[in-house]
Amino acid sequence: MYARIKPVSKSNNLKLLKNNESEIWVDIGDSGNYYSSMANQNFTLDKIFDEQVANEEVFMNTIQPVLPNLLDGYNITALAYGVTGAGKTYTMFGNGFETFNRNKQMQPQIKGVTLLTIEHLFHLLENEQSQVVKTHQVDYSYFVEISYLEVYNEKIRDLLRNDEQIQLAILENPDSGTVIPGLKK
Amino acid sequence: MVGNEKRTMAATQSNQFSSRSHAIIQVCLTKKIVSQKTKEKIIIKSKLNFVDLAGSEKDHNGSKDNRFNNFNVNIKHQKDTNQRHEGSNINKSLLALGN
Repeated sequence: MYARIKPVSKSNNLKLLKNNESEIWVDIGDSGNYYSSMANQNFTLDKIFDEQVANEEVFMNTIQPVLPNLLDGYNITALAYGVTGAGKTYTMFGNGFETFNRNKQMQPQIKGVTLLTIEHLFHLLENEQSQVVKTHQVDYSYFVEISYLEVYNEKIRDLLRNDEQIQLAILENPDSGTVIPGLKK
Repeated sequence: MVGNEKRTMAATQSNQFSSRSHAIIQVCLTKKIVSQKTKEKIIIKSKLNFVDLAGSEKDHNGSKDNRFNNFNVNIKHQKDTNQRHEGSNINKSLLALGN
C-alpha cells in the first residue's frame, strides 16, 4: 500500500510529518470539531510519496516493478482510494479531465498512472516478442482489449459506448471470473 | 482519452471537477505462442485493472449553517439534494469495500 501526499491547503491545521520512507504521522493540531473524532495517528505504508513527486515517479515505484508479472499470467489491480478532492483521478488519469472540460482537448498534458502503464505494457510486449522470436522458433502474438466503465448511483455505465441508457449486469463466470456481458472493448 | 468525457463529474466544495462515480478500466491481455515445428500452443491470459474510486465525503450540506442557506436559494437546494443522494450512494458503496 502506498500513500501520496497532496499539498496541504491553508484552511486546515492538519500536519503531516513524514518520519521516514514508509511512516507518516498525522497531527490534527487545533483543527476544531471537524477532525475531533480522530486522534493523532501514525500510519505505516510501503512507501509515501511527497507533494512534489510527479505521476511518472509514482508509476515507476508502484506498478512498473510488478508489470512484467502480467506477461506471465498474473492479474494486477491498481486501486485509488481517498476522500473527495484528494487527487485520486489526477493520479490515475492525469489532468485529462481538466483539459477536456476547459478546452475540449482530448490529450492530457500530464499523464496519469493508467496511461503510463498501458504505454509501458506495449513496450514490454514488443521487447518480449522480439526476444522470444529471436531465441525460439515460435510465432508470438498478443491481443489487448480495453474496457472502461463507471459505477454511478449503483448502476453500471459503459464509457466506451454511446447508447448510455443500456443497463449492464455483473455476472460471475466459473472460467473467467466476474464478467459484464455487452461491455464494449 | 475516449470515455473520460462521459464520466460523471460535478463541482464540489473541494474540487471543481470531482469524480462522482467509481471508474474501472480493465485491460485484458492474451498472449499466444505457437511453436513453428510442433504447432504446440501456449496461451496466457491476464487482466490489469485500474480502479478510480469516487471520494468518500462528509455530508457538508447537512450541517446547520448550510441548511439555512438552502432555504434562501431554491435552485441550489435542488442541486444539493441530488448531490447528497450521489454522495450517499458513493459512501454506501465504499462501505461495502470496507466490510
